[in-house]
Amino acid sequence: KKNTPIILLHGWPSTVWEFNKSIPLLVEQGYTVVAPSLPGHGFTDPPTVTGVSPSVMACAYHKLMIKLGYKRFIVHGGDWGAIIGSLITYMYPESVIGLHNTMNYMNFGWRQILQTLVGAVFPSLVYTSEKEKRFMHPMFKFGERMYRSFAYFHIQSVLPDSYGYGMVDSPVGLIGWIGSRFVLWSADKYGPVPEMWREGVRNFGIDNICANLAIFWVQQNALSSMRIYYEFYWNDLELLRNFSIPDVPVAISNFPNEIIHLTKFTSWTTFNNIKQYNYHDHGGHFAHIDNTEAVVGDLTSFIQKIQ
Amino acid sequence: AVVSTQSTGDSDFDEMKDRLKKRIVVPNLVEPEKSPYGTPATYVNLVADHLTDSFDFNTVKDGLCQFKHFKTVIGDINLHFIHMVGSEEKKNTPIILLHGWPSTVWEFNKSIPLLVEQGYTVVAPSLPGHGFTDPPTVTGVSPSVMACAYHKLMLKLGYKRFIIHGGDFGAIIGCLLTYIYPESVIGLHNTMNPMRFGWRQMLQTLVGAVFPSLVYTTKQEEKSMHPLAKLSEKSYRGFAYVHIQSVLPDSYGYGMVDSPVGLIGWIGSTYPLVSSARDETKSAMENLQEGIKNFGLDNVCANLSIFWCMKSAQASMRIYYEFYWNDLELLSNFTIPDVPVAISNFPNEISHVTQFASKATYSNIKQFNYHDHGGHFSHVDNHDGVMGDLISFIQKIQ
Repeated sequence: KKNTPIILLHGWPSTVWEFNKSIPLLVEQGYTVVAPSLPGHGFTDPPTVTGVSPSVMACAYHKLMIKLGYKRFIVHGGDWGAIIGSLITYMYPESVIGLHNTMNYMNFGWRQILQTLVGAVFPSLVYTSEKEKRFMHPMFKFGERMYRSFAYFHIQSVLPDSYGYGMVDSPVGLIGWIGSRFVLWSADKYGPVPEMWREGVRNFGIDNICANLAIFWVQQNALSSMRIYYEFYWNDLELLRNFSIPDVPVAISNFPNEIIHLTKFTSWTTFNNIKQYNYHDHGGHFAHIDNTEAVVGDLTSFIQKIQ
Repeated sequence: AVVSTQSTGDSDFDEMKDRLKKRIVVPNLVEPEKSPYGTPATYVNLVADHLTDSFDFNTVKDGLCQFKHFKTVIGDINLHFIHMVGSEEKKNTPIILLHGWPSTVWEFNKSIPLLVEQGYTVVAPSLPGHGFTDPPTVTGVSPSVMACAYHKLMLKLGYKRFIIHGGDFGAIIGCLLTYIYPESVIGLHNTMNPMRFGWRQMLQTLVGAVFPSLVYTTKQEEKSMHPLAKLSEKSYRGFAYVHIQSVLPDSYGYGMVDSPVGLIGWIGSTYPLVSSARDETKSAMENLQEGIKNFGLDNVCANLSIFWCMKSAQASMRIYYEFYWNDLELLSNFTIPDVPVAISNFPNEISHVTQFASKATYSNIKQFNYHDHGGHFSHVDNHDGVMGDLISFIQKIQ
């Protein structure tokens, strides 16, 4: 399996703990695995300079793999890892054997718009899963849903530090925000609220929540972890709205409790060579935690497909 | 009920100092004072050190004890208020002073004595979750609900008709009170003019995009809407805090109640930010230093001490949620009919609306003054300006 080393990219507010079951599974099957910590998350200190955006991290991760002697590799990512992975593939297509994402990020190209309009009237024509449908439909609820869902993105792309001092100095400050993400992003957001919290804790696991929080607390980097939203918004937004990945094979894994749902039709705007597009019946934003077999299964079957 | 402010303040304040001495602040940037990410660690440490080394908490207690404090239950709210009875001749124009977020009645600690000296009767309530009114234990307490609560307060005190003065949410609540109970309001005086997006604002923005000097009276008015190309970035930056506080007010707030630096980092940063010119060519610390000069580090610490002792910082942000989901429609559409209105415009205020655009909200603008200094908290940094306007307005409409 020397020819297909894999780099696993986590996002916010995760750490390499996210892959603590997946890495053994892949190693067992003989794969070479590299899993970096995103600056400000886990064991990579935050940068002391400004400007370290996802595109800069894409170059850094590419350089890491070259340094380790891996000229061509598989990229796997979720959340910012998916975005950074897509940027690596866009900038260095010759280095990427295949790209596997668990989170499909929004684009507002003609495909998305067309599909949203048609889907507003004939949802069953365009949406494959119930969650895909509920993400964009009905239209009049979409505005409210977006207002609610992107509030955290908005503040973190403008004032990431201002709300964060309490997360480094106070454990409940850390739990109240960072801790809540693991739970909410692992549950059904369309159901009743109290059940949503209980379900999220059940799916992610209270010990996993505490493991991530322990790492953030000891490393004291919760505040600086949020800066990636700022750097992304003011540096990389244009790029991300406009690029598309030409020939490199891509696989997407869709989990019902993920925070963003795009159809395959819309995904063609970003990815021109979608080799695999799977749906799963359980799992959320952190599929490595709450549906490990499926995400690792998708990854290994994708690698076998494209070798 | 009559209350004393002497109670648990000292032990809470000492606890805050202890926590500050043990604080974890990680100033990892090479140039923290130039941080583009929001409150710089330099500022947090500056305020923290002032609180532990120099600030005298007795000034807060003494400052508040010069007033008479009361509490009364209205609906689900145990409302705290200051009530100073004035002279017989000014009996007919009692004044209610309404502060906003994240302020407290401390904002009026110089204004109330001045008004009392001149014989006015003054009532100054604490907004729920700010200062000495506990946050509501039920949801739904929006600005329009507070407008009714404040109206009820004045009636309870025997004031059937009164003058309203407010800034920030106080201005919004004051507008709503005047809209819902115009018969009760002798006059309305606002320091912050809420922006409306009706035809007046649109027309003026379009004309002003090409001929700014035709529509804008001050440099600040012009900069707030011109050039159009920069408007969307300015709005994106300016409304981020409104967005998050109208969706997840609690999620970011636990650290503000449990950690003094959490409190300083957000709540503490707002006072100097809205008291400065917020010059984009200057660094974060330069703007904050200007704000500190105008607002006063001791005033920052006084407000923070009150928020810390009352443990209400997190709950204070909920008014944005209740406002957005309950009152937005109303606030976008209402117009105050006949009641006389006065607006005071200060250069460092966060919102600048021309008199032309203000007619969308107020039908009877009797006074519209501009001042050459002062910001969002003019009671602190241009006290004579705002008090002069209020008193001259009252005399004008009597």
